[in-house]
Amino acid sequence: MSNPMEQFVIKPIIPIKVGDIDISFTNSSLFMVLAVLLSTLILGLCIRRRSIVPSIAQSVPEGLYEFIAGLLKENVGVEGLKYFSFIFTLFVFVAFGNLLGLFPYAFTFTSHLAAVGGLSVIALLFNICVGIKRKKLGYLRTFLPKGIPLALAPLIVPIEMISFLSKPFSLTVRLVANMTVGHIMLKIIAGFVVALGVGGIVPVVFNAGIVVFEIFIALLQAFIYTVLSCIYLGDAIHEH
Amino acid sequence: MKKIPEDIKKLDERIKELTAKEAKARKDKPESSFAYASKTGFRVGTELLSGVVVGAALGYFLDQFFGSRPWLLIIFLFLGGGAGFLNVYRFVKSEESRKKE
Repeated sequence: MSNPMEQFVIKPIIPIKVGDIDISFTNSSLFMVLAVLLSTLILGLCIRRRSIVPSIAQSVPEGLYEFIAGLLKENVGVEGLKYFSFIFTLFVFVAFGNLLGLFPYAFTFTSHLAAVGGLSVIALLFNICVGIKRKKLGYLRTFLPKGIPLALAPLIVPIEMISFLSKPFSLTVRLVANMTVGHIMLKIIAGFVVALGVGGIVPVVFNAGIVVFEIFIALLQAFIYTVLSCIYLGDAIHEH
Repeated sequence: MKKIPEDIKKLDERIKELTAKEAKARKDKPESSFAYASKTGFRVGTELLSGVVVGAALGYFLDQFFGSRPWLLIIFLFLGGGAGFLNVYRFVKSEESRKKE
């Protein structure tokens, strides 16, 4: 039986080194590029022929657009539509990463803390910038909510800061854990197929069911990731 | 060409009908309690854990920066625990207000 963790190994395809830093083009980067190209290609082709009454192909990106716009309106408010492009990109990128990883021999870059963590840190920086731009110095109120006596400040401020910094971390862990668990389970059960011989038909059927479930999980996790980034953005804009 | 508006009108009615039906079906069948419990449990777990982990990491790196090992690690570990509980408290509160709606 092959090692179920082997699928998560990052292998350099084109080794590049700048000084001491390794910035090789890896299989992870390859699938990120693939996700970007494929999503651009598919969404672009779907809206090639623009008509008022959408064709089936055209209704897919339109539905997606409405969906994300609704999400933003619900969680951030109408002023959140300004940041539509960011949230839309985030959702499509994560969803394509999750879905591409389900293909055989594919690499799931969303199963790596570094990749998703990078996205979360971008979301964090984006929210800090938006918050400072909108509230100026009042943004510092995030770390000391109103109505708290000044004597408690030395205790509350670090706690609020850690709580603030831990949000992208929990966001990342939730996505990464879900993707990793699903893929390990698929590999382990697939390992039984060969070991059981004729009886291997049982794990095959079971795996087929799990793959369908994984497609659902892939979209659901991308959705959850996006919703939480929206809520997060809403916190930066509104008062608590 | 005259026929199209008639069609669209019909389509509009059908869409409205189906959305109403869907909304009703959704109200009748709320999320199963097991799915809700596992989702919420996982969320609370990661929120609690991430506070402690981030606090510990922060303390560790601050320690290296100031050369005061292990004091800041200890302090920030406890503060991280507080932050974890704060995360959970906020999550539960927002969940409660969502349920009331």
